[in-house]
Amino acid sequence: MRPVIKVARRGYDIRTALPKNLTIDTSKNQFKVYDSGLEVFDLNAGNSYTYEKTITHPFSYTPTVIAFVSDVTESGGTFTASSSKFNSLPSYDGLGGFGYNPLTGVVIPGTGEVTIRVKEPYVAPVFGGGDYFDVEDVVLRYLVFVDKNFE
Amino acid sequence: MVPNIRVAKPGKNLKDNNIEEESINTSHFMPKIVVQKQIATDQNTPATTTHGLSYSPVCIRYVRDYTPEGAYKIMPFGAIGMGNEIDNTYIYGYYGEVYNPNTELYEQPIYYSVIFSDSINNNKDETPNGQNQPELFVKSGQTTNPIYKLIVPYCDYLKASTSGILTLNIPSSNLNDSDSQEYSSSYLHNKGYIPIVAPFDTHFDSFLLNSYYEGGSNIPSTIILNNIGSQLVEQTIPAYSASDVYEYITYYFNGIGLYLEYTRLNLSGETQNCPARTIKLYYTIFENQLDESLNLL
Repeated sequence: MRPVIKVARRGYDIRTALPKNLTIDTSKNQFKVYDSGLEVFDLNAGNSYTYEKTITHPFSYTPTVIAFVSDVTESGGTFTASSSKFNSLPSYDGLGGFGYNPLTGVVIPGTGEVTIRVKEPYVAPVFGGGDYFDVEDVVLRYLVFVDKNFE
Repeated sequence: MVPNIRVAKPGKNLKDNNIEEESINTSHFMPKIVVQKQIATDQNTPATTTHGLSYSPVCIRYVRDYTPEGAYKIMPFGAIGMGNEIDNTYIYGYYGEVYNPNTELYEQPIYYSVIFSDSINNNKDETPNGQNQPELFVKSGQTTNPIYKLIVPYCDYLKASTSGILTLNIPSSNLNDSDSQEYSSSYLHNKGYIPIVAPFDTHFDSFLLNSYYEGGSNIPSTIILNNIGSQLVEQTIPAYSASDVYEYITYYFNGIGLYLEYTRLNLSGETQNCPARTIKLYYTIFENQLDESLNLL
């Protein structure tokens, strides 16, 4: 017999509760975080408006990643990265005919590593893009799980 | 020495010290679900609802549209600033109205948000006060501050029910003008409720392949949907692209199963030789129920 830890939600009996009403059930795989972090960076001409964070891992597959990047707003040509409002990745923010490139955030798989990239990809003015913009103190938050996303 | 609780997956041995083979290991923190909420939204005014925490929490988001059984999709990155946002007070909902075949009207879709106690803007696993409920474990050296609890039985955790791969092997074929071909694959979980489903970071929606991959001229023979959002988002704006053959992919889930569909349509005016495609979606279906409201704060 295998050992197991189970905890039922308040109001449920551990002996009869359906699996969905267990808060902890070690007979199932619980998603676990392998690595997490918080990065704060600027985007400007010096870094080609690109920031990359590479996280190495020991897995033979691409792990699940949840990541967030600051919401960026524009006022009078000045761009401000929020420290409290976030978009989840993959994200595509900005643009919409304002003449500036969007701010994108993506997760890139690799052998033994994942890279999270936040950048301003060039978009032609005809599609609403055009100019790059400087922005300071962009926040990137990421959780890299033990658990597989894909191979 | 830091105390630790570990349980191996079925058929595995803890002595191997392989975290991939352990269902729980308290040296790796597990995001704690504390709130689940739903809001109706539209494309005109971002809908907001409070999440109840005093900081910006980690969250995952889904949107439901109106196919007969309900089609649930991970919130796509979508277009400009499309409401996949959260701050220290609100969850924002912003999504185009969708066609409801039952009423024959365009109606508001529903957002489903799963909120974790873990903070976005602090690299900590934060946990609400347990209101005198039992606590199982605290991080070493921290015994009083509730934000350092590692296992909190009154919070919910992501518990995998099943995982697998949905695959579509589409052969090459000659397709006559104005003809179409449809292929589909599904996994029936038959849970009787809408479960939380991973991947979390994809473009879990319907899209036209021709709008991407250099205007559709460079569509790869193998497409892995798990990372499709990140593959596509740095490209120029998704835009209609005139093509000979149009290729659509749709994937969604509901209370019965997980579905992957592919259609190609020849509008070139002549017969076209369509190449083979392989489309894969690695999925995890959790025991957790998505379509319920939950407040464990």
